[in-house]
Amino acid sequence: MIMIVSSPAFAQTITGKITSTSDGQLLPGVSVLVKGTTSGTTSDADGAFSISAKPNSTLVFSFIGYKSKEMVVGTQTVVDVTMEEDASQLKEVVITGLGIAKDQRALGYATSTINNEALVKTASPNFASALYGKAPGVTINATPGGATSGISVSIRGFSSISGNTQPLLVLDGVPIRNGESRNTDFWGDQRIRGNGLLDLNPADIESITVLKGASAAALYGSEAVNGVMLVTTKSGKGKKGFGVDFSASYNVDKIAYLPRYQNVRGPGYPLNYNNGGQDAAGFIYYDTDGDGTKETRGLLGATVNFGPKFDGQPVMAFDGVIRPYSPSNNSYANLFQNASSSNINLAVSKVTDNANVRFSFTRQDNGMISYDSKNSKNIANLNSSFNTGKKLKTDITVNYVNQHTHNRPFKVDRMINNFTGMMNRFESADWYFNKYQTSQGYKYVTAASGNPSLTPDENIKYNGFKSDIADYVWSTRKNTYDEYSNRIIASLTQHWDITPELNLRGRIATDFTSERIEDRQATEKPLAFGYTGSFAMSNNLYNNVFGEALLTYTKKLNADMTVQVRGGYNARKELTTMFGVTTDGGLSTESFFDLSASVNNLKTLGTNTRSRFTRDAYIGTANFDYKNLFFVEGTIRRDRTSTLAKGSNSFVYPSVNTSFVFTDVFNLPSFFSYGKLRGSFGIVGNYPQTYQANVAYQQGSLQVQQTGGQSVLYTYMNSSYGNDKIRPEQKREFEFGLEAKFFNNRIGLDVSYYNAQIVDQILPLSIASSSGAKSILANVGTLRNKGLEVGINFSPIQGTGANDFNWDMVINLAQNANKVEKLANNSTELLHQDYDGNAAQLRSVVGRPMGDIFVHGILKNAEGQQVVGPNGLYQLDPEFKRVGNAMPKLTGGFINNLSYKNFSLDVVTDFRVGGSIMPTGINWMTSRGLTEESLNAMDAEHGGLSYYVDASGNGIQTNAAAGPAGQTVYHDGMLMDGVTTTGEANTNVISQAVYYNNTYNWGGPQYSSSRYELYVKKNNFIKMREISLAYRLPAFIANKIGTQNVTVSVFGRNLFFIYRSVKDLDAEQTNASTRWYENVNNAGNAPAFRTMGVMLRASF
Amino acid sequence: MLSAVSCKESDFTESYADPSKIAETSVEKQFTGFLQSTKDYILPGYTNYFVALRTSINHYNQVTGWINDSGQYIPGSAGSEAVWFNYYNMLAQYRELQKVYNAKTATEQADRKFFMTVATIYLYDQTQRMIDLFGAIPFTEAGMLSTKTGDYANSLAKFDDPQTLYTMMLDDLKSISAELNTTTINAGYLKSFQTQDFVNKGDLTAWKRYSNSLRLRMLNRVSGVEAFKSRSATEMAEILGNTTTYPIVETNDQNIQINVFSINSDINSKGFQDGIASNGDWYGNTAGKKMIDFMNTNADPRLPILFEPGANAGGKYIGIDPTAASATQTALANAGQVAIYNRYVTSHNQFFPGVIINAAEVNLIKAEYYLRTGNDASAKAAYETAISQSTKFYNGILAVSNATGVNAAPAPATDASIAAYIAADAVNWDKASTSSAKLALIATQKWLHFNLVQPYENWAETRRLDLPTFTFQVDNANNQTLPPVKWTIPSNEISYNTANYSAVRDQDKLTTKLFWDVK
Repeated sequence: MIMIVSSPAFAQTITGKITSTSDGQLLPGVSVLVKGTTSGTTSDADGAFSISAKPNSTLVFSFIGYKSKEMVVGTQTVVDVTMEEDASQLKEVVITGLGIAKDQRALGYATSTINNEALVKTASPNFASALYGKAPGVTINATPGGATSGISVSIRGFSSISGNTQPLLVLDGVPIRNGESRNTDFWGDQRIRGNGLLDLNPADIESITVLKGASAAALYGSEAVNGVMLVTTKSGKGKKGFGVDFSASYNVDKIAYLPRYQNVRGPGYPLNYNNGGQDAAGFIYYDTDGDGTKETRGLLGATVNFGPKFDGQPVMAFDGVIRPYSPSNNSYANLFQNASSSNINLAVSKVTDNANVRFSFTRQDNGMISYDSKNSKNIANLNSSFNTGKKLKTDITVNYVNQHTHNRPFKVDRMINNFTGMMNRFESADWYFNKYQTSQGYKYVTAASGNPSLTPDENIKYNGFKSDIADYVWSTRKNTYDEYSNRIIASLTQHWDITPELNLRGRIATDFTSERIEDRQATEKPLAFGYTGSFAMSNNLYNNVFGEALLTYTKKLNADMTVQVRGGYNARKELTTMFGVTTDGGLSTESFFDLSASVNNLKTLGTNTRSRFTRDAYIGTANFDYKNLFFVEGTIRRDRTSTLAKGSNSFVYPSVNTSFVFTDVFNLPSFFSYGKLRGSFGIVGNYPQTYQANVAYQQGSLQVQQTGGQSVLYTYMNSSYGNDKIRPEQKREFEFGLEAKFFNNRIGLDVSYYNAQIVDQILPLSIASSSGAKSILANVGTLRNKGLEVGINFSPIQGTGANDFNWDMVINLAQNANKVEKLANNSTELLHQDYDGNAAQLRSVVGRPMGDIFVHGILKNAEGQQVVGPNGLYQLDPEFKRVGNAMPKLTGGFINNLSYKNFSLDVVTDFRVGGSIMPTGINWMTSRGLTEESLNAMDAEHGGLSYYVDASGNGIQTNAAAGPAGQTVYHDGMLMDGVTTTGEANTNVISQAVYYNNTYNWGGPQYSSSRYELYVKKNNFIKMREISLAYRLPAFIANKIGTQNVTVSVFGRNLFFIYRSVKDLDAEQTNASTRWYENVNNAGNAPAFRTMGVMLRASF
Repeated sequence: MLSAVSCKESDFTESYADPSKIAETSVEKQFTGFLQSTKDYILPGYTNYFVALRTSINHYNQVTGWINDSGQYIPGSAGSEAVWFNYYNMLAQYRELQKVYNAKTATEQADRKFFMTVATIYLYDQTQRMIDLFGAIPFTEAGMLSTKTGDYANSLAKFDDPQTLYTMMLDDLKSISAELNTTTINAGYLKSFQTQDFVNKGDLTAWKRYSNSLRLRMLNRVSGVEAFKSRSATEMAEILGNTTTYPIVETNDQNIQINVFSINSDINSKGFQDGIASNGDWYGNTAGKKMIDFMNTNADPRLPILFEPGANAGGKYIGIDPTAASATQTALANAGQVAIYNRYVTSHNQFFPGVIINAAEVNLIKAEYYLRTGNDASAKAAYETAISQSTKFYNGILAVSNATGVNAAPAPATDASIAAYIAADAVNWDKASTSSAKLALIATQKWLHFNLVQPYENWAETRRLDLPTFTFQVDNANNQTLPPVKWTIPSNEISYNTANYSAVRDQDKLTTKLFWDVK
């Protein structure tokens, strides 16, 4: 870009300072115009201006939120001006698409802005988890795990029936990498992954503006179907001179919200359940001294816990130690650690006449509850702006994140979603800590496996050992996994005021990440017994280049009307390369972690890819402003993308919006301070993921297969079939809104109604594998999201001075109704997931909100009576019935800020109504007899029926001490209410162990009698999300230690539930993915936790 | 500044295609792609053994010993689905091969016809295995998605009747036998055949043997079905009566199998270890009582090759009794008493071949055929040959092992030990007085020969003959009280091919016998 510095030719230069009448603060950014000319300027950061004008000119000063002022200049060259605040005008400036700052009143669509204060009060390591409840229509779903686990943000429900639902993330005008995190496939990846937004540092964020609707986001076209989050980093602007800000925090995470476990029974089962060789009391006996007499009491090696009641008497544990038979009180939760985290931020800023610079450095040390799991970040942020000439301004921003993650949390899947890994109430976490490795540091050996060991005496040979748990302990203690990454998001922006009416802005930016991963799996057994362990390393580069040019022309047509036209072009290129290799066949030297230790030839990790993506767009906008009270804007964008085939890769996204400040026109009662109506329409879109549409052959080599032979090359067609004819998704959205302020802004209201239709939904449609592939990319249907968003600000008590009691509250509500309007090929429903062998299904049905959960109910006969099978259990209906829906109906937050004297208290609650989940693993714990619920009817005291078992195996209720033929009478009976297949009332009493084992088991009717309808529960909750109590040191003390402002605070996050409908887990426990349909059933990533900490903030 | 990022149309089209993929392929490369797509279910692989077989078929065949547990007779969905996905992925590769072939000119097709013909043999082998597991399966209309250029709505395939499919395959294999006898391969294509065909290395005679032996296997399987009786008798007579025209696998040298050439290529058996002998107590390779007792009693020369004694068993071979209480079973296992499959020969042998069809199997089929047709001498000869071939087959596997860090290599079986075994009471042909007793001998040897090396064949034969006779603990706490007689169609197919499935839903039960399971 060529820069021309033109010098104006006017008679004299007038300089001056502009201050505010209310507080005497200097006002930067005030527009100064010579009346009747096109000559103008703006005040700098120190409120100073300099303008050339002929003598006796009139200068017009205008600034948002202030009353405009005109001053006639005589011959003086210095003019100092004071400006008065205009109560009727709002001071809010909102960053909108393309980073253009606009007056709130000019916006024809809804946005939500969250400022820095709301992000940092409880020291969240990332900004997204600080957004719970803070913006209407913005829903946060965090995968449990801690600082490195993915967070899903959804805006106005879900715009995609099965694809990405994450908003575009724009940092200081540059679209940056976020990506998805999907943590549902344990076997594919045992560690919990995160997404790109975790890298952004809350301390450096000035504000986040959420562009929700299609019109607001229209300038982002094909990337904006899920909305846009505009993140603006802090700059030195608004401060004076040299400033220093410091903050430090420390907090601790503790595991929380575990299931309600029972502490009554241990492993095993009664004889009426199954004869596994136990005695009538449920115990077995070992011969430990080899004298042929089984003298030592032991337990069955059962995954179920319908065994004997804890009696405190000696019993053999799996580790060979005889202990009292009592609950250990040191079970599952003790496999994890209490994690501590700290966060230190130091920021310096300097503002001069020609430049403002802010530099900040942050050190985050984030502990996580998964053993030895931690993340540390060094974050440097530079935001600077230089006036390089009268008409030229250069902005440079650099965000640098240097990060190390050690042992990314390991999924607990095997201990939640798997019978053999569920820790029982007898065993203790530290038995595993002692037994997962031998005294020589090799992996445990079970006697039953027959595997050799150097320490055969240490082999595990008693019942109760769970290799799933020992493997987890081994994986988290012996194996290490380190990720090192450097991410730089940098941009250079040049502004050129070609004329006062014509402005050109050019920008080039990069978002570059280099990532290195080392995965060390320890040697598991002596080399003499074979090679084990592995070492893998990989390098990944994420390369993102963005460029943009924007020409703005502003023309004031007359005193009342202004027109602004923009034209621009931007383009983005992404290149992601991933390369990794691993040792194969074990390590040749014990725990020697290098590729050179590979026993066989090195293998690629299977992630070696190059992925290129190119997107560009031409952009045009036109704005019309009438008297600063009526506004119209139209935008258009033409996109091209490389993810669609040639010929169909270009499409156009238009939008229009308008706003009208009616309180400036009509004479309304005086309490009605401000009122604005707005309306908009826009189209945005979405395209398939890179290479997803491309239909082509994969190829491979089997290398040489015979002596003297050639390499054997082959091709195959992938079981995920593409589609070269795919069309982009389109979202068309109407929106209307009302903003109002009452009683001098004491009450504020912002209401939006939106109605969006998303057509041509792209999705890798699952199909029967017998068709020739497991999925095919297809445009499958049409969705509609409509809803209402309400934001209310209210100050019940308004203090007049700084020390008075002050109370502000915010209520955010969002109601969204989703509907599947149409599916391709006139299908009536789309199957997302089939769970556990036809046990339950997640479907989207035409005419209904997507995400209906279907299960098999109890079979009913022609009379509508429940049918009980010959085994005494309810028979399942082979047909499915709908029992829930995954979409929440109402979400929101309730925020209170109270302050009195030097104390302030911030309380954030968030809530959700509607939306069912099916946490299968937690329910399976009931089938294993681990939950309190599974104690029901275990004996007469717990409501169990007394019965004996007759010759044909049926349970017959009795009050006698023995059956008619002397049969044993049991007292753990349950009787299902229903009729037999032939219509008689069911009288077959069954053991409650049989009932719970079967009713909460795994699998569909083909496999079991499990009643999945009992697993599906509405997930309503009100959570105490954040509390922060702060104390500001009195000024005289602060000044003494050389600071302006010192605040100390205590805070907590995820503290407790005020209400929850699902009792045995955190309401967010099943969040596993950035895709909605993967957040329904999997509770097996990491336990939930609560956080408490302290913080110090000071400025100098 | 902007020129750094501004885009040309070519930037978009060039970034559209995945750089790791290719737009076109050849018959040769897709042929190999088809062959290799099912290699993990021919060579011993992790998913097949650990997920699919360990808790299901290997129990039903009592070739392993395990701990009784409620629900144990319901095949796990993950396993049956894995087998299903593998088969239909293979079929999709076959359809792709047909598509590539059909797009060629007539001359090009004529030169490459033999690729299609031998591919069909391999396909039918796998298809028969699927039918024997599931009964009715989609076949004739299946796998067509790519052929129909992605028209998924019209690619849903009907389920074909298993008997009809058997008939079709038998017809086709018969004409393939004739066709191969007249096939000559142009020298220019022979070289690529030898390279691309990693199963038989371009040996057309081997493919003929494969084809005719497969016919014998299938004809024998349906030999008890009324509708097939005469066909079975006629065609088996025809094949066995003229092995010059209809060559079959007669010696171990002629065995059809995928040999592991280099463990650094993808054709290897590294997955066998985690498949049956992974850490923890998975009971993937622990011996079952019936098999161990039989081999012990009769001094089976394969015993020390196939098994090794438990660590604390003092050299004794002990198997887990499937009818014992779980506490008893666990105690035995935890005491280190239970024998396991010989790790040197099986699990840790990364050169373990992918067995397709071998001489011992064919001779056992012959023995059964001759017994059925009253030709006792030929039956006896085939039976005894089979025992010797089976033993030497395992000797051969022992010889290629690269196992390290496990038990020492066992000594190979000798001719003397084989001869002694053939004379043993429960093995001796002549000591079996009735033909049903002789059939039991054949069935027992099949069971021993197949063990967990050919589990699917083994299950088909133990179901068909109901021999050897097994007893199981009855699982009264579950609807399925005893082992099933077929696998049910996996839920993926039921969910996504619902309309077609509804036509076979009634036959899709764990208790529905296959059409050839007439006993």
